[in-house]
Amino acid sequence: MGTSRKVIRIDLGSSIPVYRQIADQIRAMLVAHEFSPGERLPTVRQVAVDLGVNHNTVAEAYRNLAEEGWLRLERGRGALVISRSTPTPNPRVRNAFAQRLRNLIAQVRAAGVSPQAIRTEFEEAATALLGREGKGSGR
Amino acid sequence: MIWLNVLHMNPVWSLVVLAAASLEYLMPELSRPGVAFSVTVAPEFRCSSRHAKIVRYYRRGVLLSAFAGLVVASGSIERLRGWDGPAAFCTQYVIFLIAFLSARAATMPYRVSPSETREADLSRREPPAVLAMLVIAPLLTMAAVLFWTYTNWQQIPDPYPIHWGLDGQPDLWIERTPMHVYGVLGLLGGIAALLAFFGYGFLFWARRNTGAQHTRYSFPAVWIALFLGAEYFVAASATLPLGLDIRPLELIVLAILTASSLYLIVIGPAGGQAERRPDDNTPDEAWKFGIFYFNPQDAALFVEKRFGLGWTINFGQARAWVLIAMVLAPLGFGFAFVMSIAS
Repeated sequence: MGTSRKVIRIDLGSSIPVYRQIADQIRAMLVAHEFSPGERLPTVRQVAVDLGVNHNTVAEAYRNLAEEGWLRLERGRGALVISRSTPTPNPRVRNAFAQRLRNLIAQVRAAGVSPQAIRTEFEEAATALLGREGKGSGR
Repeated sequence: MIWLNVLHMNPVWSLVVLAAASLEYLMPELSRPGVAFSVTVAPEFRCSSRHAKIVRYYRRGVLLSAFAGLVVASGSIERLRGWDGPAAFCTQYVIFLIAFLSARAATMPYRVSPSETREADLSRREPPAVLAMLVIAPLLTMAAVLFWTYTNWQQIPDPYPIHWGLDGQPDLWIERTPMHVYGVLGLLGGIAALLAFFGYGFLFWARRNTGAQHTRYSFPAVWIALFLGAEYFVAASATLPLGLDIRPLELIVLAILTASSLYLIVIGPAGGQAERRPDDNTPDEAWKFGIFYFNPQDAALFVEKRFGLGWTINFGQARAWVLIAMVLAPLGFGFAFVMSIAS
């Protein structure tokens, strides 16, 4: 797991702030267990240099992930991935997720993406991020 | 009357002028495919007749710059006597700059927006600390030589040679005075510190390649090796007070440096590894006059040049100015010292 390439991509022209793009992609990797507890992420400086953005942008992304309990920040040494216990499910979070998902599907459908393509993307994203986790356990 | 006096030409500076002009002449071909005169263009623009015409005019300017530089180097201008060499270099560079800026202005209408997508590989680790030691080792060696010089002052020959001619015989000697001995060491130390600063910066403060094909782009590694080689060359020269014959070692290093320089041109930005070259991820607006990179929003201290071989400094970073001042101060004292010896 530790040897495969873990590339994040940002789009400076996107309306989504760069720090959120970085945090979202690292979180996706963490959820998919691409990083194990004890592994170290590169330093803020190194990621900022590679992406060609300001230090503060990457620092903000790391801080957000640290506040969510994914990382422990170590000055000058990057960030350590820590084991994070899954929080108790919150109905509000689940409702918000369902709403955002519906909005997103409506948005891409309105943009012309076929229902089949939406289903495929949805399946692939779920498989990539969740694997076989929770399969068949129902609601 | 101003004319080209070949017999009185300063050979070293004439070679410098010719080498600079040759590289500048070739530069349009050596630039990355999506860039022309530091402007982001569509790759097909580089094959257009318009681009060919701009390059033609640019090259005429470069040829003129070489000719003007050689005229000055030949000592044809009475007022510049004694300063022929530096004046020749400056003349060549100024005319080249005018040719380059004109070509850049002519290219501007064909500018396209550079990609705004950036990548970073989180699984790549920083270069090992042993590489940092490789950069610092020559400076430590020079500090040791300085200590030896201080503690063994009487063992230093008086006078001692600091330069040899092509026939292998010493042709420049200096007296064993603190100003001369420590002045030479200070000058060499300044140059080595400058090279170490660049070597360390390319390793730790520059963008790393991300894409699978880009990791096989060996240009940065050879470039860093070139700077390290030059640093070791300078450090070896600093051992002169010890009375060691370092000329064979220096010749070997010089041969390696020449070979790797040629290799860089062959594999370089538009050479054999062009397709492996990653985007430079720099906005056009940050390239002032197409040569100076000024981008406070970019954390990289060094970025690959748009026009020219190698890397340049990001002048938008405050620490760049601090570091430059730290390195240039001893160099300035060193050159003042050389001028005092020469006079």
